[in-house]
Amino acid sequence: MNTAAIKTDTLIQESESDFQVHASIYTDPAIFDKEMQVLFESSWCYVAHETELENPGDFKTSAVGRVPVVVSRGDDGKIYVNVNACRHRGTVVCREERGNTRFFVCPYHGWSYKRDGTLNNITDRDNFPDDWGNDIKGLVAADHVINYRGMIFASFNPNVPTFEDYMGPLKKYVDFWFDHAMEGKVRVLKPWRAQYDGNWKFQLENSTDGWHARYVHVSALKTLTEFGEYNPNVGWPGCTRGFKGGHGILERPRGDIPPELKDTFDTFQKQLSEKYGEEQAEQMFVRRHITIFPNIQLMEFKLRVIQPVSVDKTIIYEFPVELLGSGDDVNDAIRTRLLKEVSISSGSPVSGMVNADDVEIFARSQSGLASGHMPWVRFARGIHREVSERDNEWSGQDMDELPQRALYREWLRRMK
Amino acid sequence: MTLLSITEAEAFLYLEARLIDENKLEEWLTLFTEDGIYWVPSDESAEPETETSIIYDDTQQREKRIYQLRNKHLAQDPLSRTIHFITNIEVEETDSPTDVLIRCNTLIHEMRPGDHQYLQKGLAIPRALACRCCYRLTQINNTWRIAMKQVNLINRDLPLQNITFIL
Repeated sequence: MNTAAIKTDTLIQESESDFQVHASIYTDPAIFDKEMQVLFESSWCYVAHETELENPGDFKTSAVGRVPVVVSRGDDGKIYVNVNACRHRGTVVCREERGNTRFFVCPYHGWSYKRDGTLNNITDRDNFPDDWGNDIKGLVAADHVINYRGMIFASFNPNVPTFEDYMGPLKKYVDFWFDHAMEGKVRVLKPWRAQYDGNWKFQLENSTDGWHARYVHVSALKTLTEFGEYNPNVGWPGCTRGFKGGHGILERPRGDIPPELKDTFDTFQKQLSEKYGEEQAEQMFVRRHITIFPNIQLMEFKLRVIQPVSVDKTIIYEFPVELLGSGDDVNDAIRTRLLKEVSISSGSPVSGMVNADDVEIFARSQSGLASGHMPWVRFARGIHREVSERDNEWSGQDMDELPQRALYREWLRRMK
Repeated sequence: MTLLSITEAEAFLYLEARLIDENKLEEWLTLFTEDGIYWVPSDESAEPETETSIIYDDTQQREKRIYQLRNKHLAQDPLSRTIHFITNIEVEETDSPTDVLIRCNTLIHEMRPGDHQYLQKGLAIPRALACRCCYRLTQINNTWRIAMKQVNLINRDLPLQNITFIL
């Protein structure tokens, strides 16, 4: 399909006092196709975390938009990203979610590829002309692969902007997130896996939406309060940040540390103060939901990957993280908080106290927008008090729809 | 001769299923021992204390789960209707004189009602969830209690949809 022909330049309407997004961006399959091409396949896209691929031969299957890829560690220790399709007839060469292998062997006619995706063998070679196939060097490799603090990003655009440009001023906050770990790196645990009947952008918008919690999560907050595990913090309420590039942040104080973990979290904060000084440690030690546009969210000690499937179907992977070098006490406390549902940051998106309620809303929004007679979705909260910094960063109050405006400004810039 | 006959095991499982299906979840809570666990793994070989599970509930967590269900948990509003079908029951002895294992297959039909015009995606659509289950029961004062209820969903390692009801 010629996606360039789709008119998208009028789908975001912004004025000084209003911000509206057209409903078709959540419901139109043609717009979805263009999004995958423009926002995912031509940009940087997260494909794996390095700790999922610790040894040579370790691999996982992943995706860049709609392009299925194999991410693997070669014998040289480097990480490679290749299209998961045999160069012979296009058959998927690897179906497992993860594993370790010496070769990727196509089941159809036995062509095989090395751990880094380069060609190992074309079977029955003597039945071809002598110099046939010399141009086939291996699986189709990503044009660029970068490892940023353990996050592996790939691009299928040879002229993609540099990763530094792509991250822009968000980098400082991404670094804060990783610097919670004394070694500056994390290890990801096995993920929670969920799917919902709704557009991928609902999850993207939701994680930096400080407004919905008091409605959508009222039952979770009530439950945690009933069980003595939630103390609404009455001090600093938090803030929102948006960035050129579509990235966004919701900052909130950590008001949901259950009493039994408080001492450990105090020790944890002290660790950070000793390493980075009081002032920076205080900036680091806030609960921050960071969206790396278009589909990564660094949450409270978990890394979320939003994988679009179709215009109204989305998969979410949530990887709890362990902070490397931060000690067993700190990691035990973090794990307890995440895995045992003792905070509003915890739990599976399908069976947990919190995220399951978000996913419910996504299906409900998708259903409401499908009518086509509710044409405009609104993101104007706090637009009149948006503070602009250096022309590439905006900030607002904790419940303002500001990160959402930032993401749709970038959406329009790239999609129009 | 095991401590628990197949017929007795059946009766226990049917009781549990009935309590869930009839939404008598406060009574369901009393079936567990004080340190009993309700476990729905995504990888049954992973250590649930340190690795991710779909559900890994101790007593307090089960109580929280039911409390939230009774207090406008959106994902359970409307509440799921369930019907449990239980088959392939086997009883095994354990190394403890007070404990037995029951293995069974469970097919759960689930539906969230209340949406006659299919206004919300996923609602008013019956679903079937196939599970391989293992219960460790322990006898306390002549009553059998659940020390561990493990539910291995057939699609446990795939992206799942709403399972905020009790399996």
